Amino acid sequence: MKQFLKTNGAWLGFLTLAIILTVWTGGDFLSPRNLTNLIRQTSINGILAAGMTMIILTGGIDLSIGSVVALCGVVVGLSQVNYGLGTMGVMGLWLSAGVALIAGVLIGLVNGALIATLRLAPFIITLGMMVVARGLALIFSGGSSISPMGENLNELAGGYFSEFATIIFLGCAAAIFFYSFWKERKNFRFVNLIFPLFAFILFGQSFLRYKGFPNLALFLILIIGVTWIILNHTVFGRSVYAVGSNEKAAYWAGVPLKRVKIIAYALMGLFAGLASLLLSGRLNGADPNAGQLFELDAIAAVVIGGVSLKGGVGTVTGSLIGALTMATLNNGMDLLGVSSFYQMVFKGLIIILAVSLDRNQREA
Amino acid sequence: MLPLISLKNISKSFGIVKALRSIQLEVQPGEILALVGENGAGKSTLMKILSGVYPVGEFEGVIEVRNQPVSFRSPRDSEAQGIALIHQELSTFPQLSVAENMMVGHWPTQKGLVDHRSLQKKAEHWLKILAADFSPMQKMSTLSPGQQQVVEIGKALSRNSKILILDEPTSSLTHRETKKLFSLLQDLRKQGCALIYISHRMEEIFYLADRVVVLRDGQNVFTSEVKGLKQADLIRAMVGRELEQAFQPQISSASSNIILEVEDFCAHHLASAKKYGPLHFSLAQGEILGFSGLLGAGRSEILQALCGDEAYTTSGEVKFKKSKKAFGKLQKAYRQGFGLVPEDRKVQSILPTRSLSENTSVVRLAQKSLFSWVSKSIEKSRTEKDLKVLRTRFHSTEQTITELSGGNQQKVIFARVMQNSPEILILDEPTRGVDVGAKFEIYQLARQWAQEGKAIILISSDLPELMALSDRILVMAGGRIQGQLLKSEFQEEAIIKLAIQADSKVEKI
Repeated sequence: MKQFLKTNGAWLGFLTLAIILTVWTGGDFLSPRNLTNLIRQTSINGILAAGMTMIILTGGIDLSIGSVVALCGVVVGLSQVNYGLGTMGVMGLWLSAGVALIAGVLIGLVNGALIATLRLAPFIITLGMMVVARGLALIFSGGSSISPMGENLNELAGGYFSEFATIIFLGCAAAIFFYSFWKERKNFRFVNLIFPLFAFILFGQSFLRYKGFPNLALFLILIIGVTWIILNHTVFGRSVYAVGSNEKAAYWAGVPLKRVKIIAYALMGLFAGLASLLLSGRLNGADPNAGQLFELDAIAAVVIGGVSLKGGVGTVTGSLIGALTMATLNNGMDLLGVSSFYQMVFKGLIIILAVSLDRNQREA
Repeated sequence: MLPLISLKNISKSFGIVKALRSIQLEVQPGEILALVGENGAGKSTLMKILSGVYPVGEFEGVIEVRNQPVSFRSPRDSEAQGIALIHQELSTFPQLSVAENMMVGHWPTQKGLVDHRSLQKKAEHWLKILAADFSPMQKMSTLSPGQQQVVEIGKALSRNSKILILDEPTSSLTHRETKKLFSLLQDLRKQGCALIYISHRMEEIFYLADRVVVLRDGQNVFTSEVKGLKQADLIRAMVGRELEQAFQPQISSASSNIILEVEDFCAHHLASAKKYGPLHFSLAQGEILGFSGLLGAGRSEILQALCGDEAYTTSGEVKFKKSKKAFGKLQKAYRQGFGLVPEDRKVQSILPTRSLSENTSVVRLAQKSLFSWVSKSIEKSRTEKDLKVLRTRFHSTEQTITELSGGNQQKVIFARVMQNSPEILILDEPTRGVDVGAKFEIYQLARQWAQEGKAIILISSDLPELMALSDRILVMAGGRIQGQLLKSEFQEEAIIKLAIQADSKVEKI
C-alpha cells in the first residue's frame, strides 16, 4: 500500500480532483470538448515543467522562465510582423521558430554559465535574469503587444490532426506504452497500469469525439518523451540525478558539473522558447507582459509531481501529472464560475496540500 | 551494587525485520561498557531506544534506571533521567559560541532575554572540570573535532547526566585528542558515571572498557570482562567466524615494474592558500604503499591534487608509465587509469537518493560523452555481477544505497571505481565506519588487487591496518614526507615519532 501510494500518489490526487469536478459540474467536466481543452491548457505549463524538472533535479531552480517566454514571444512577434515572416508561409514559421528557440537557448546558456562558473545560487541568478528578460521584452516591443501572427503559426498552436492521424497517434502511443510494460514484465504490477490506461482511454476518446488530436498535445507528449529519454537513458540524465543527489560525490566521481548544469539550463531555455512560440500562436499575438508567474506554475507542477526541491529524486512523468493537476484545477474552477480572485487562493491552498502529502518534500 | 541502568528483554522489529531480539544489558555506576558488533547488528537501534528516539510502545521490554522502570516518550524524557547520547557525527551550531552550544535548550534567562553572563559562568565551570584548553566565548567552528567532543560531554554533564552513551567518539579525533578523551572518560568512571562506549576499534576497547557486550543480528551473543579476554575471541564473537589470518602480514606482491614516479610535486590550494609538498615517491605494480600521518598532515589533500582536483594548482613532475602527465581534471586521471575511493563516504562518495546501479556506474559513465546512450538492462546485470564479486549484501540493484550498511556502501564505491579498471588505486581511509567483517573483506580485496598487478596507495589512520597491508609506509606531516619505513621496520612507535617530530618542528618555526 505504501509503495502504491509512493508511485501513484500524484495520479490519485489528479483522479480525486477529476471525480470531485465531474460530480460538481454534473458531468460537464468529462465532455470531449472540455477534456480536449484541458490537455491544451496543460501543454505550455507541461513543456515548461519538463525543463524545470531537469533543473530542480540538479538541485537548482529557474525563476526566469516566465520572462524568457515573454522575451522569446516578442522575438517571435517581431519576426512575424516587423520582418514579415508571418506572410512567408511554412518557411516563415520555421524561421520564427528558429529564432525563438535560439533566443531561449542563449538565455539558458547565460543562466547556466553564471551559475556554474561563478558558483552563485541559481535562485539569485535567475531572479536577476527574470527582471533582465522582462526589461528586454519591453524594450524590444516598445512596451506594447505585437499582432497578428501568421496563419501557419496560429494553425501550429491551435490546430488539430485529422481523425485518421489521431487514430495512428493513439495506436503508436498504445504500442509504446505496452512495449514498455512488456519490457518490465518481470516486476509487473497491475496497479501501475491502471492509471495510465485510464488516462489514455479518457483523453483518447475525447479527441476522437471532438476535433481530433490537438497539435499542442503532440508537442507536450514529444517534450515529455524526449525529457524522459534524456533523464533515463543518457549519461547527461544520469549526471543530472547524480549532481542533485550529492554534488560533491558527483565531482569526485568525475562528473563534469559545469557542463551538466549549463546544458540543463540551456534545455530549459530551449523549452521556454518552444513554449513562447506556441503561446504566441495560441493567442495570435506577442505580449511583453505575458508569462507572468509561469515559473511558479511550472515549479508547482514539478513539486506536485513528486520531484524533491533538494534535487536528486523525481521523474518527468510525475511532473506531467502535476501539470495536468494544475490545469484541471484551473479548468474546473472556470467551469464552476469561480471568480479568478478566489481561484488564486484555492490554487495556492491546493499546492500546499499536495506538497504536504508528499514524503519526498519532507526535510530530512 | 545496583545497576545504574538495565535493559530487560528489549525487542524491536521494523516490519518483518527483527532488529533486536530480547536484549539484556546492565551498566553499573563507575563502569565503562563497550558495546560492539558489526554494522546492522542493532547497536544504533538499541541506543535510539535508550535515548527515547523510539518512544515507549514502539518496542517491547523494560528499561530500568536505578531499578525503577521508566518509559520515554521523547528524547527529553530520557535526558531527564540522566541519559545523554553523544553522537558519532556531532550536531553542533558552528556559528554559536561554545557556551551557547553547551547550554543549548537550557539557556539561563533574565526578563525573557538570555543572560549571557551566567551562561558564560556555567559553561566555564564545566570546562574547568573537563580541563578544556579553550574559552567558552570561542565560536564553535574554531574548535577541532576533539574539542567539540569535549563540549558535547560538558553539555551532558551540565544536565546532570550519569549515563553517557558515546557512539564512536574517536572516529574523527587525532591520536593526541583520543588520549585526552580517554583520560577524561576514566575520570568520569571514577566519579560513578556509567558509560556505554560504542566502537569498532579493538585497541580502544581493550584499553578503556571494563566489560564488553557483543551484538550480532540483533542478539546479545557474548558478554565478558575485558580482563583476560583475547582479541581473537572478541572478533570471533562479532563476526561469528575466524578472521585472524587477515591480520597476518603477507608476502609482498610488488614487482620491479615502476608505474608511477612523482618528483618535486607541490600542490597549492587556491581557496585557502595552503601549500603541500614537495612530494617524492615511486610506486611499483602490485605494490601497496601506505601513507601515514596525523590529521591535517596533508595526505589526502596532496594525493587528491595529484589526481587532478581542480581546487589546486600543482607543479613538479608526475611520470605515469614512463611518460609525463599533468591531469588538471579528475576525469583525465580516471581515464588514464587512476581510481580514487575518497575519505568521507557520506560526503564525497555516495549518491544517497539513487539506486545501487546508478551509484555503481557513475564513474564509468562520467568517462563517456554526455549524450551517449545508457542501457539499463546492461547496467543492471553488470552491477549485479560486480557487487557479487565483492560479496556485497544487497537484495536488488534498484534499492537505494542508503538502505545498505556502511561496509556494503563502501563495497558499492569499490565496485564503482573498479568498473573503470584502474591501474592505480588510491584508497583513502577505506575502512572508516565499516564493521569488522567488512573490514577484513576489504583487506582481502586490496591484497587480491595488488596480486593482480594493480598499484595501491593506502591512506589510513588505523596503524595496525596500515602495517598489515602496506609493503612500504611513507609518513607525512606538515604537507611533506618525513620518512619512509620498509616492511621490516614497521613499528607503531617509529611511525608516530616521525609524524609528531615534524609537528613540533612546524611549531618551532
